[in-house]
Amino acid sequence: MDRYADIIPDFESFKACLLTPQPHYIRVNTLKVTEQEVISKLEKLGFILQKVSFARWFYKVIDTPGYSITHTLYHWLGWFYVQDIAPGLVSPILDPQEDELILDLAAAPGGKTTHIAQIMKNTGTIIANEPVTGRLRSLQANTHRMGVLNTIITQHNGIMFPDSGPFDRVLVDVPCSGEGRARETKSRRKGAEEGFIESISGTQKGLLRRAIQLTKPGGIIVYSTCTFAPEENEAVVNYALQNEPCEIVPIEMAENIPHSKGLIKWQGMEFDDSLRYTIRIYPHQLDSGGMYIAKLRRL
Amino acid sequence: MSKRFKYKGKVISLDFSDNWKEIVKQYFHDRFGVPESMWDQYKVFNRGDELWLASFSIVPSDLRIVKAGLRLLRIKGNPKPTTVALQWLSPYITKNVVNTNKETLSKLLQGGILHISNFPESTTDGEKGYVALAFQGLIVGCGHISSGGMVKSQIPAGKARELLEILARL
Repeated sequence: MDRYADIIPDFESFKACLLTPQPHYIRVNTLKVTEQEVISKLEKLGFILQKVSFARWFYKVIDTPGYSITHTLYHWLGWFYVQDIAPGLVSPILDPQEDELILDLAAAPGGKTTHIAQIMKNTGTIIANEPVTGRLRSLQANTHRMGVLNTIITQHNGIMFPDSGPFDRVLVDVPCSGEGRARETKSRRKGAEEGFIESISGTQKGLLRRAIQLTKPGGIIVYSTCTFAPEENEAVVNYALQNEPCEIVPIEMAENIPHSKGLIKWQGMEFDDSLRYTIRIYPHQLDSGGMYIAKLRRL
Repeated sequence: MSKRFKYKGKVISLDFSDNWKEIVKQYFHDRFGVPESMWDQYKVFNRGDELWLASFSIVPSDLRIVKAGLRLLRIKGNPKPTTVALQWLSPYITKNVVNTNKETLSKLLQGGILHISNFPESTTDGEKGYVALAFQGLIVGCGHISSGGMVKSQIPAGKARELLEILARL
């Protein structure tokens, strides 16, 4: 991770944070229950929860009665989804509207898909695509458990996703080196191999280009990763800006949400100036995992 | 309305005809007291021997569909509701509910068969057919009462194992 020392603010706090366990956050599933209902049931079991002020439906698990919140009847019934707060910001930034046609190009295990369905109140249509057979089961199980009815699950290679739509909005949460999950997995704390970063960035570029091509003019694309590597983040979006008809839409974050701006240069590479309006979230800023999010408009 | 899709290389069709919705409306109303009006905003379609529930408004063509919507009812022979459908309908179900406690539900989930007299305060007259199993006032899945009044769980094995682990912590 040392190669990020110059771009991550308060780098020592960042490194210290990676050694601490990542807290659980839950998103109450209002497709099935009210927030009051689920919170009062969980508190009766002995869970202590704190509402996240800047993220609708999210609560941080402060304490447990000695077992995981996933081992409760209410989780089993789909009353909530355990979702980190950093990826929990992605679907609201996509800002899906009721009755729209949405594509989630790399959807498993379904955290963001089910979040989109919840925002849309089960209206419109979500195409949740997942190319990897082994990951389809979790996507199906989670959409079922959460009572999602507006979603069609498909299996296509995202880079070659068939001409369909055009879509009002497309989420492309790409496979990545996962450095932002270093608190969950010890082996990720050193940072990703640069060879892997280089190889995966080709796939990411292909996915983002296809996402833009599938979006209607004026429509919105959100690109996200859970990694810090600029080669997988700003460099990919910069490539799309140069090769597809699109522009950056500034992400408006409330003042009280600690985050960093996207980079406009990195190790000799220079990116489009508008990339400063994309966002980076580091674990020590939100007590979460890490995330990069860019919002684009198809021209 | 019928839509054609490619599925595993074959062209299949999803049949959204109103007849399927009528079957669903009537079945869940008669057996579980679910108000017929609650289906108005949803679509019901047929795939093989099953009826599925959905709310999507557009179905783009040429997609390889793996799953769409929520499986409601098997219609081969006597209609059989799915566990996930009964959970989803939980707030609307008013009859043929078998109320369990930790002990009786655990037995059912382990494959046990118990007489209906073991379930006081249940809203069923013990008539043969499928019932909704409830625990702590919440519908957890599908069960069945035989003609002799014997109750058996119909919750799928994987889900039953998960629920047993949860009950063990209570």
